[in-house]
Amino acid sequence: MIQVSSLVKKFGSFTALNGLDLCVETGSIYGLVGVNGSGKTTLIKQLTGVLRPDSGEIKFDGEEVYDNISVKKRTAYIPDELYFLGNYNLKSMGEFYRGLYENWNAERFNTMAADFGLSKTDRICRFSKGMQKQAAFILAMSTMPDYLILDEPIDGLDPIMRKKLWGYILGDVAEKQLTVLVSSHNLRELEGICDSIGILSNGRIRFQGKLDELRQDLQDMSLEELFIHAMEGKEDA
Amino acid sequence: MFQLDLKSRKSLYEQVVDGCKEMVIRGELKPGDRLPSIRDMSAALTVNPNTVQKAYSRLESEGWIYTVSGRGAFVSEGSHEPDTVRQEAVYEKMEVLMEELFYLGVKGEDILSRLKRIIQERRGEI
Amino acid sequence: MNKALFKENLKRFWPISLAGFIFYFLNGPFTLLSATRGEQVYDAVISAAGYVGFLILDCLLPVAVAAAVFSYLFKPNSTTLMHSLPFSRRLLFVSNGLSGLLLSVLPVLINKIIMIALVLGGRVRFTLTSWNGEGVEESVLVTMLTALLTHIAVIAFVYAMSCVSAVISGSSVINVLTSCGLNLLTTFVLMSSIVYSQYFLKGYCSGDETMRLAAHLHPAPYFVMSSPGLGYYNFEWPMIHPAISALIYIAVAALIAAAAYFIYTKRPNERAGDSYVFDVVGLIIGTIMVYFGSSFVGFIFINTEGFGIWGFVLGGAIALLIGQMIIKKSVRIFNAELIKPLLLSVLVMGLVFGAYSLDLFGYEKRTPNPEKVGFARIDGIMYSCSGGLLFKEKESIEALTEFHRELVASEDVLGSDQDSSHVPDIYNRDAKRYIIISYALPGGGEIKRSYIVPVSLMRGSASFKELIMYAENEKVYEQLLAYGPSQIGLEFWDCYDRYYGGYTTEEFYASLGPLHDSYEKFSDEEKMELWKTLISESGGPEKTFELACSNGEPYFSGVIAAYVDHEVASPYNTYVDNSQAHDSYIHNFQRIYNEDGKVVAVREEFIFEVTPESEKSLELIYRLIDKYSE
Repeated sequence: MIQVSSLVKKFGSFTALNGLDLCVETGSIYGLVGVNGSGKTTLIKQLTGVLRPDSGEIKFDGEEVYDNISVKKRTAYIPDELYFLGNYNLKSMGEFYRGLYENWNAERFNTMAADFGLSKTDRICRFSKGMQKQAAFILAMSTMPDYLILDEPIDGLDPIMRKKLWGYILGDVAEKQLTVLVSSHNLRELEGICDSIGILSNGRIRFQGKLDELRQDLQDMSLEELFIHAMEGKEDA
Repeated sequence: MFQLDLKSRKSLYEQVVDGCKEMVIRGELKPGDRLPSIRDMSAALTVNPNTVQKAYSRLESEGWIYTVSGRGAFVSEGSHEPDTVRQEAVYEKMEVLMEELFYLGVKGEDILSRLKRIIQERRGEI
Repeated sequence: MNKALFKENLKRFWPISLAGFIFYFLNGPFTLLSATRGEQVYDAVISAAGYVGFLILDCLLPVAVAAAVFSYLFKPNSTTLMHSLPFSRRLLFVSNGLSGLLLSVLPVLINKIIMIALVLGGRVRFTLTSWNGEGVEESVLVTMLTALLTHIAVIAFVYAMSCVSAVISGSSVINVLTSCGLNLLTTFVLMSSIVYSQYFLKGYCSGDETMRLAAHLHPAPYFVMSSPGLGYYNFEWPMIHPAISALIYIAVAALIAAAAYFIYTKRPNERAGDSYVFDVVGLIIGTIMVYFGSSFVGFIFINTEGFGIWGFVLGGAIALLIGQMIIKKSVRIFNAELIKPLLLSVLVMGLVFGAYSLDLFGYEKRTPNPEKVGFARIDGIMYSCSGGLLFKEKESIEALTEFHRELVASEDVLGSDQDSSHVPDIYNRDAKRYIIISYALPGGGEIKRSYIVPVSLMRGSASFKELIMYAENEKVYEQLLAYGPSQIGLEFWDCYDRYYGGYTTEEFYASLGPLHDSYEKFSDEEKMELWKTLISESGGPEKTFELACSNGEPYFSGVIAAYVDHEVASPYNTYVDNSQAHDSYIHNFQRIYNEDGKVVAVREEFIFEVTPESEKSLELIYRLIDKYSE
């Protein structure tokens, strides 16, 4: 379970996150939703230990994330802007990861590479953007994570790849209770996949909960309708 | 297999339930056949496993399937109780729709022939 | 420390190390190998050239390596990746830092071992020089290992500075510039302070403590200047072995690295890509840029009519604007954020300028407490070769400080560095003298000043007269009489002849020249007679005063340098230790070595002017020379 309490993050005089609370249950797929610039990436970078919160707590199964190597070993992260070391190919990145992640699964790695049709010897920097996303994804899933954090995952993927990618994720969620947090402003993509959502606005989570419950109250709205309803509601209030 | 319609008014969970029922009715899944695991089903449909889980529970409570722990879910033997309550609800909706057609000046026989054509196309029966 | 990361860095960046290795190799083993067997001599000169070549690489390679292993810090996407992988900041810093250190040190280590093997294996002959010029030899192995240790010290130091640069910078260009800047910073600041002092401070004497301080602040200049074959500057008293200095620098490097680690734990990753990730750093660097810009332009124009100090303002303004543009990475700097840097720059330059032009630290007026002075010296008062007087007693030092204060107060007296029109010529007796006053303080410090003083002032100064005529000087002459022939030696030095503008006339030199050879043959009584005659004709303090204050008359002379050898363990030893470090004292006291390079005596020198008026001395000298040259 991911538990965030009273998270504050400022950049100079600008407050990006202002006492944010968030909760992701184990084995659930949580959609983090918000308009552009609402602070989704800032929040995610703190969940993954890249940025340090000014105050507040971020805990995975009760353990603080920042500088916590054992938690990070069980967390996989696919950022919006990808980066691979130097002129590495998939094979060498895999070897690098193998040295870092205790649960590295080489078999899965090879299987997935073949499944996605990616060369293990070509330099990743030469891949198209979509292929790079796939490469990042393969590396992430092969670490056999307990937590998966995705920032705008679907940019640049065709529908077939998208379905494949989610197929793997959903499989791990079903079998291993993988906990997923995915941020996107493409709500149609998240439709059907998320079982809970959180709406980020003005530095806080304004709206959070299980989709089933929300839908019951709001007559089976689609995710998009729900989002617009929630944002409008806030502006009225 | 079936597809989900994300834009439909029907919730995804209900679509999964109905989709499975369709497969059984059409004979794609015969009694005794093993249903896809929750994992495979959710991956194939690109839908949250919870949704599949709930659908399977519903199917089981309605007697369409039964689960054996450690081995999966299987199609039940015998005929299935039609969901008369649901059927009635849909008939009622049909009545409302027909009222609207009458209001628009459509004749009864036109409605009938139209219905026949639909059934023919969808089910190949008359 | 994470092994995977360590190995990855080695795998990725070994080419940089290899490039370094090749350059070291060309400078070191290659020059040895390319000589014909046995003919290559590894001596002070060759090793000096190679040493400097190595030192240059020692300063360049670590900068490149540090920039490489910390390159991930300079882009948002690489920063994100590395910090989201299962590392803590400590792990990241230690693994990257150590791998970089290894990559920096390995090339010089391997090359030096190759060179040692070549020398020990007889491929190359090796002539020894001692590390402190005292003829104490070490084995080849120890000398070369010491050199290796100094290289490692420089590398470690530069690398640690580069790590600091990496953790405060946000882009790779800024990082490289800051790396180089930090390493050069102290040197340039000290050099600029010398320029300020020369211009503003009356009496400032270049070549004082500032140089010594500058050499200590970074191991590269320190080892260059103190290495055998390159100058043998002795920076410490008592002298310490370079290996110990090297270890001290390595310890300092470790401290700097610890500071870098601490800063890294506080580094805000969201600012990767900015020039500097800490606002404070940007402010400081901006101010440093203003200081250098202002000083540079300021001193170019400072002597221009009507422009004067506005050069400083102009230079400062330009540096401020350009600096802010670089730091903020934008040309739109004319907003409220410009106020802080502007105020800080004005404050700092105001302080600097005020401190120098107003002499806020009292540099010009400072004279020490006579009770606290070990010994003091005044040079340049005599026209001949080394016309200096040494004082040890409190009363004479009081007189000296009194005279010193007169010089400071007088408007006719200028600081030697300020009077660019006067060419200091200690052999020129016209109207002005170039005088250096120095005080040796306990604890090894010194105060040194130089002035251009009109002779008329010296003549009219009561304290100067007292200084020269003081009993301490009289005592010197009395003491001389007490020395016996076995202690005394005499040498004839030719000197500048002011009248002819050159060395003493041929005649005079030729006539006194044989003194060198004949002196040994003189009997003891003859030596004592000559000795006493010289002393009596030297005129004592009165003559000295007269000579110091005279001007105008044509004059030529020679000088007889008399010396007395004291035993090594004598109270003069402390003076010798200090005198070794200061060029001007060397004439007064020297260490005397035997063939084995051991110090056997401390020599104190005295100068006797021999002019055509020294009738009795000359007559005696010529008589004795004639007697023994048959």
